[in-house]
Amino acid sequence: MNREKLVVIGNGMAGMHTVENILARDPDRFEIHVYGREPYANYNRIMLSSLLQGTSEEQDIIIHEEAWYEKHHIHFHKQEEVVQLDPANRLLYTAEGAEDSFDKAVFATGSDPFILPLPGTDFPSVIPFRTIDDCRYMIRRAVSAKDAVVIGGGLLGLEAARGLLHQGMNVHVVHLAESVMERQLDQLAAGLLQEELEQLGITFHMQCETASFTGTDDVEAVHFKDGRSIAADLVVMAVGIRPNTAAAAASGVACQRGIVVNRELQTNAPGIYAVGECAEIDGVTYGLVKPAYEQAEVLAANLCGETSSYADSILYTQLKAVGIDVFSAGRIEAGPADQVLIHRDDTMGVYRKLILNRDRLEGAVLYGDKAGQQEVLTLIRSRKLMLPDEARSILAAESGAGAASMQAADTVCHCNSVSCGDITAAFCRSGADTVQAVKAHTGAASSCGGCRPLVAELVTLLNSGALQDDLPSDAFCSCTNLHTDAVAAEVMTMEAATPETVRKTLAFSNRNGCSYCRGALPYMLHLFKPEAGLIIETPYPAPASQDTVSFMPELPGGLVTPAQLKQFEQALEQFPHVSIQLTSEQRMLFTGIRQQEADTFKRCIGLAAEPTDYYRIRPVVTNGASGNHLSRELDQQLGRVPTPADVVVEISDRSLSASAQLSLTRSDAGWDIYLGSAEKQLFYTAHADVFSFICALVQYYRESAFYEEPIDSWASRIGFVPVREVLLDEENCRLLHARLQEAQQHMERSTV
Amino acid sequence: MKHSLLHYYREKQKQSEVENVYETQCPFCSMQCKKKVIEQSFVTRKQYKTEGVDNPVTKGRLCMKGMNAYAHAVHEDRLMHPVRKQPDGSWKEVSWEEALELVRDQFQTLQKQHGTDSIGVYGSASITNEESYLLGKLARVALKTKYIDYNGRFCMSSAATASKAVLGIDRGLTNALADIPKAEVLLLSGTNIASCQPVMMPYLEEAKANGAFIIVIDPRKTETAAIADLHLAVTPGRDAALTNALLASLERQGLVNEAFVKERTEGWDELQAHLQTISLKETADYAGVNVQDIEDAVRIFAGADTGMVLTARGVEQQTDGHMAVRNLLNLVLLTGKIGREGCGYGAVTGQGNGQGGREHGQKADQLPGYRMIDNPEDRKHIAEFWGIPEPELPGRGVSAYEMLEKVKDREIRAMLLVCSNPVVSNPNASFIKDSLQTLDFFVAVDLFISESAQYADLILPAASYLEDEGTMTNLEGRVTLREASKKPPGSSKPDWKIICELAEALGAGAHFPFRSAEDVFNELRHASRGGAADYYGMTYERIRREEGLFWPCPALDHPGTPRLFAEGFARPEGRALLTAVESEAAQTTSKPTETYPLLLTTGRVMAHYLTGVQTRRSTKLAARLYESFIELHPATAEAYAIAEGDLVDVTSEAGAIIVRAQLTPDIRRDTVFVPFHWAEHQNVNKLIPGKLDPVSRMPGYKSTPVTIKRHEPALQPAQT
Ligand SMILES: Cc1cc2nc3c(=O)[nH]c(=O)nc-3n(C[C@H](O)[C@H](O)[C@H](O)COP(=O)(O)OP(=O)(O)OC[C@H]3O[C@@H](n4cnc5c(N)ncnc54)[C@H](O)[C@@H]3O)c2cc1C
Ligand code: SF4
Repeated sequence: MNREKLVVIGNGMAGMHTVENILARDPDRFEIHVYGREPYANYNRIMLSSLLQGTSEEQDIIIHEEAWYEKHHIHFHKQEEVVQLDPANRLLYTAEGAEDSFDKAVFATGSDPFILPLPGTDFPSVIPFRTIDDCRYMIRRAVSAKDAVVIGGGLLGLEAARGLLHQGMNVHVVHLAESVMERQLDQLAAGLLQEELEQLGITFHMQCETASFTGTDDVEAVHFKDGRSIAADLVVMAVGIRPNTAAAAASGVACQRGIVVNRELQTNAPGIYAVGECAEIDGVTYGLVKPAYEQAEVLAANLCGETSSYADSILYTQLKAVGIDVFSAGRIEAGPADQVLIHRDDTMGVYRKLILNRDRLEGAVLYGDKAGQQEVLTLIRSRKLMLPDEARSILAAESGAGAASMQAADTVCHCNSVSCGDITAAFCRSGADTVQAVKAHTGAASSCGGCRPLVAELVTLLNSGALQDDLPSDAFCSCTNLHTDAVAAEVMTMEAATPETVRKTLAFSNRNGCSYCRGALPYMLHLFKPEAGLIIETPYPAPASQDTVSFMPELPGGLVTPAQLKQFEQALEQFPHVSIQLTSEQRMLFTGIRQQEADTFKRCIGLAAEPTDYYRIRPVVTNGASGNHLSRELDQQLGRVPTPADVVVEISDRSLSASAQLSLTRSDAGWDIYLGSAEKQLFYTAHADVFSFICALVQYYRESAFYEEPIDSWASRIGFVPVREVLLDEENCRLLHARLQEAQQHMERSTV
Repeated sequence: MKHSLLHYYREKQKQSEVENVYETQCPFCSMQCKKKVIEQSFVTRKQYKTEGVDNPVTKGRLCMKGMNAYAHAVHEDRLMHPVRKQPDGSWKEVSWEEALELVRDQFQTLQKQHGTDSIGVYGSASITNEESYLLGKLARVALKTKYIDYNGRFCMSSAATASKAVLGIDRGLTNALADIPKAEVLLLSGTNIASCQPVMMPYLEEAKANGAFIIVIDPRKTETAAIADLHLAVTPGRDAALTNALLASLERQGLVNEAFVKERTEGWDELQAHLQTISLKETADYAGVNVQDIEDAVRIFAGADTGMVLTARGVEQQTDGHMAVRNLLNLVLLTGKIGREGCGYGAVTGQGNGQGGREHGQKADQLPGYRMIDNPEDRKHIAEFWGIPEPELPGRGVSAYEMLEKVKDREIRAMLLVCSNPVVSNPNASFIKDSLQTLDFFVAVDLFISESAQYADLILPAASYLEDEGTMTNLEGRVTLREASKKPPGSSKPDWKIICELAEALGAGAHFPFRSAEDVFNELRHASRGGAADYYGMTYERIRREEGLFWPCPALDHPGTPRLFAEGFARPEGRALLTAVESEAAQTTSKPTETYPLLLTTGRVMAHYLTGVQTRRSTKLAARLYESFIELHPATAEAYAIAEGDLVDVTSEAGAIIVRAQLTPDIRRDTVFVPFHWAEHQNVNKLIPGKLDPVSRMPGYKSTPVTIKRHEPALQPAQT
C-alpha cells in the first residue's frame, strides 16, 4: 500500500470532523491513524452539559462508535497519548512507549482546563469539567454529597451549576467579576440571568476570589480571600481553558498560546497541521465548536489537494441551561457612535438588544427568546447594510413559529449546516422518521443539540404527512396493489385483452372487479384499442328496473329542424301516453315509453339515442347564437367517445353557469376557454381553430387523466402550462386529433 | 394516468438515428449564454434539445428562453429562398440572381432620381459584430448613403450617450459581472433582471448572500424588486427627479466623497449649486417616493465601501432617458463608486448584441471602433482604411425612428431592413406600417415573413443563429465567439454573406472580398485599432482559448480590460463630467391628463424576447403566456369597474389596444403595465407617442398617459 499515512493526534471534535470531511471527499486517499488520550470513542463534548442536566444519555452523545473506525479502516489508538513527534524522521512517540511513523500529522489536541494554582486543588473532588470522566465523577459524587461549589461564572461554570442543581446538589457559584458571563452578556442580561438562576436555587458569590480548599481526605470547604468560607463536597473548576500545546512544543513545532498555524492550518513544520482549540491563527485561539468545525473543513480540503483557507469565525454564545434562553453574538456593549435597539418585556422575561453601527449589525444579546438568532449571525457575518426596519423586525421576531413555517433552505442545525430540506429529503428518501434516524442521516442535532427540539418538531410534522408533496399515490383500485401506471403499461401490451383477462393476468384479488375497475378497465382497454369496441361492465347510470323507459334522441347542438318536430309530433300521436320534457341540457326527453314498444318508438322518432351507459361529453349546452355552430360540431364529433368522467360543456355569449366544467365564451380576442365549475379559470384564448383545440384537449384528457377524474381537476393536477404546451405543439395536436377521430369512428360504427 | 399515450408513442419513436450537436450561444439576450443544441432525427421527425455549456459568464446556466430558442430556427415557417411580392400580394420564390438584380436595379434607379441618400439601411442589435460592421460599410461604401441606423436605439442609446458624455466611453458594464457579488450595495434602476436576464440573477443572489443591500427603483414590485431591501416605487418617467432627490439628500447629509470628486471629476460646483436649490420634499413628492426612503437609500449607498448602479430600459426608455442616466452617473461619481473592485456602473443591455451592434458603425453617427463620424480624424482614419476619399464618406444620418419619418416624407425611397421588426418594436406602430407602405422599394432580410417583412417587395432569407458564426459582445463588454456548424436551410445565407453579395451586385464587390466571418472579423480588428472599442488584439483563436475578451484589447498580448477607469476617465484630464439635471424634462411625456389619467409603462416577461416573432413560435414559451395582459392595482381596477380576466381597452393619444386585466397589488395605483411581445390589437407600442429624447433619440416607451375601460365585446355571429 502506498497511500500516505495520516496521523491525527486527538480524538475530539475537531480531529474527527477533519477525518469525516476527508472521508467524504476522498475516502481512499490516506491510511488514517487516530491517537486519543481518553478511553472513549469520539463523543460530543459540548453535550456533556446536557448529560449532567439529565437531558441526554451517555449513548446520545457518542458521535462515532468504535465500529465506525473499523468500517472506515481507521486505525484507532485508544487511550494512547502522543508525547512527541520527530518531524525530521517522521516518527511519533507515545506516553505508553510506542513508536509509529507518519507522512502527515494533525494536532487536534484541544484544550486543557485551567486549574487555579491554589492550595488544595489535589483533593479528589476538586475537578474540572471537560471530559466524560469528569461528568461521571460529578454524577456519582452527587449521590452522596450535598454542597457543590463552582468556581467561575462563565458559560461553562453556569452550565455545570445548572447540571449539579439537577443532580440534587446545593449549588454555589463563585465569580470574580461583577456579573456573570461578563464577556458574553451585557449587565442587564447578566442580571436577568443571575436572577433566574437564583430563583432556581443557585447561590452566587460575586466579586469573590478563591484562596484555598481545605478538608481531610477530600475537600470540605472553600475559602475566599476576604476571609469568608463555604462548605463544599465537590468543587468544579471552570475558570478557563488553555490550548493543549505540550506535544507540539516538545516536537519543536512553533507554539505561542496555541500551536501557531497559517490560514491553511499548517504549522511551521512541513506536513504538520493543527486544528481546533489547540490552534492559534493570527494570534487568536478559539474555544467553541463552530470555528473548530470550520477549520476542520478547511484542513480536510487542503489535505485532499484542494486549496481552501480559513476566514475568521463569528463568535456567538448560547447557554445550554434547561429552560433558559440566552444568546449573544458580536459586540455586546454599545459605543457612542452606535445605535441601539432594545425590546424588553419583563412580564415575559424577555430582553433583546441589537447594536447597529452605520447601518450594519455588529452585536446582539437575545435573552428570554432567541428567535432571530440565525439572521443575527448571518447579518453580522456578512456585514450587511440594513435599514432600522430590518433590525426592528428581528427584534420583533418571536420563537414558536418553528418547524411549520420553515422553508427548505432554512438552516435547522447550525453546527452541521443541515437545512430543513435536507431533513425532509432524509425522511422521504431514507425513511428517517425519528430524531435518532435524522441525526444519523443528516448529522442534525449531533453537535450542540440546540436544534434537537426543532428537529423533533420537524419529524413530527413530517410524520403527520405535512411538508411532503410527493406522497406515492394509491393503488389502481381496491382489487390490486398495482399503481395505475403499472396497470396501464400492462394493458397497453396485452393482446386481445378483456377486463376479465386483465384481472386474471395481473392477479386482481377480486376477479369480478370493484365498482371502480369495472368502469376503469373497459375504459382503458378502449383507449388503447378502440377498434375492439367498448365493453360495458358496469351499467351507467344504474339501470332502473321499471315498466317504462325514457329516450333522449341525439340532437347535435340542441338544434331541432321543423322536419324533426313534425316527426316527433307524428310519433306522439301514435304513442299518446308518452310525454316530452325539456332537460337542463337543452335536449328533449321522451318519458313513459313502455318497455315492449321502445324499439318501435325509437324507429318512429328516426334518431339515434344519446348513449347512456358510460362517461362521455354531455350534450353541449348553448346560450346565445354565436355558439350554435360550434356546439353542433362538438356534439357530432365528440358525443360518443368515452371519457374518464362526464364532461359538461357550455358555450355561452352570456355569463357562465356553475354546472359546466368546460366553458367557452366568444370575445373579441377569440374564444375564451374556461376550466372549472364554480371557480372558472381562463385556460386559453383560441383565435383560429377552436374546434381542433377542444378536440385535442379532450383527447389529451382522455389519455392522461385517472378514471373518474373530472377534466378541470385533471388540468389543475397536470398544470395549465404543461397542458397548453402539449396542445400548442402542432404535431402533437395533429396526433391527438387523429386518435380522437379514430375513437369516434369506432364508437359510431358500433352504434350503427 | 401519468402514462399518457402521447408519451407511449414518443417512447416508441425513440429509435434515434442521427444526432447532430450544434455549439452556439443563445440569441435572446445580452448574457449570450453558451449552449449546444442537439438535433435528433427520428423516423419521421426531428427533435431538439438544448444543454447549457460551461463558460465564465453564465457557468452553463440557461433560462427558459434559452432552453427553447431552437424552436424558431427549425420552425416550418422559415423562408428557404428569396421571395418576391406579386401584384396580387402573394409571395413567389425567386432565385438569388433575380433577387439581387432586382435590388440593384431598384436601388440604382432610385438613387439616380433622388440622390444617394434616398436609401435607408435599418440594422439590428441581434446580428454579429462582423455583420454590424459590414452593414455600416455597405451603407457608406457601397450605397454611399448617410441613412443607416439600427433597432438598438430602442434599447441602449440613452445609456450609451450618457456614458459617452460622462465617462468618455460607452461600454455596457464598466466592470465584469464577477464584480457584482463583491459589491456591498446594488442600486438597480428600471431593470427587471429576474425576468429579462434570469441567468444574471445568481450574481445578485450571490451578492445578497454576501450581505449586499439591494435598492430597486421600479414602479412595479417586480420579481427583482422582491429581493430588494428597499424598493422605491417611482412614478414612471420621474427617474431624473428621484435621482435629484437622492443627490440633494446626499449633499445635505454630507456624504459626498469629496476626495474622489476633487481628483477625478469636473462640474461639481455647478451641480452643487443646482442641488442646493432643490426642495427635497417637493422633488420626492413629484417622483412619488417618500423622503425617509430617499434618505435611507442615500445613507446606505454612500455608507457602503463598494457599490454598483445598474440601469435598464425603465430609466433609459424615456424622453429624458439620457439625462436620467446622467443623473444616476452623478450618484456613482459623487460616491466614488467606480473603477475599483466591486464598484461600477452598468447598463444591462437587453438585446443579444446590443453592445457590439453599436460599436462598429451601424449607428447613424458612428464608425468602426466606436469612432465618431463627425470627428475629422476618425473620418480620415476610416476613409483611408476603406480606401475611399474622405469626402466620399457620408456624414451623420438620423436615428431609426427618424429614418422612418423620412420615409414618410418621401426623402428616403427605399429601405434595406436587416433582422428587425420595427412594426412591432417601434412606438406608434400604425405610423410605421404606413411609412413602410410608402416606400418605393423595400427589401427585408429575415427568417420569416414577419409583421414588418410582409410589407416588403422582396425578402432575402437569412440564416438563423444556429447557422451563423460570428462574435457577439455581451453586456459586460466581453467579446464572445458564437460558433455555428449547422447548414442554413434551402438557399438561405448568413447575413454577412448576403451583405457581401449585395455589395457585389451594387458594384462594390472589391471592398467586400470576404470568404468567412473570420475574414470579416480580421478586417474589423484592424478597423477598430486605436478606437475606443479597440478589438485589435483579439483573434478567433484567442477568444476561443480565453473564453472571451474584454475590450479595449489593443495588442495581441494585451489581456483585455475587464475593469474600466481604474486610472482615469476617457475624457480631458481623465475627469468624468458631473451635470446638473432638471427634475422635469422639457418634453416630458409622463404627465397624466384628465382624459388620460394613468401612466402606462411597458416591459418584457420572462418567457418572451423582443417582439416575440421568435419566441411566440416556441410552443413551450407560448404555453406559458399565450396572450398579452395589463397589470393594474386592484384599487385602480375597482375604480374603473374592471375585474380580473376582463378584456380592457387601453387608449392613449396615439392609439388603442385590447388586453386582458391582471390585478396585482405590486404596482402603483397610478400606473399600469403592458408587456410588449405581442402584435396587432395587443401591440402596446401603438399607444406610445412618437416623442424622442433630444440627445439619444430614444422613444419614451416607459411612461405614457392612458385611460382604461372594460372592453364591451362587439359580438358577431359565430364563425369557428
Ligand atoms: C461542558 C462543555 C460544554 C461546552 N459547550 C459548548 C457549546 O455550547 N458551544 C460550543 O461551541 N462549545 C462548547 N464547548 C467547547 C467545545 O467542546 C470545544 O470547543 C470543542 O470540543 C473543541 O474541539 P477540539 O477538537 O479542538 O478539542 P477537544 O474536543 O477537547 O478534543 C481534543 C482531544 O484530544 C485529546 N488529546 C489531547 N492531547 C492529546 C495527545 N497528546 N495525544 C492524544 N490525545 C490527546 C483530548 O483528550 C481530547 O479528547 C463546551 C465544552 C465543554 C467542556
Ligand atoms: S435569454 Fe439570455 S439569459 Fe436566457 S438563455 Fe438566452 S442568453 Fe441566457
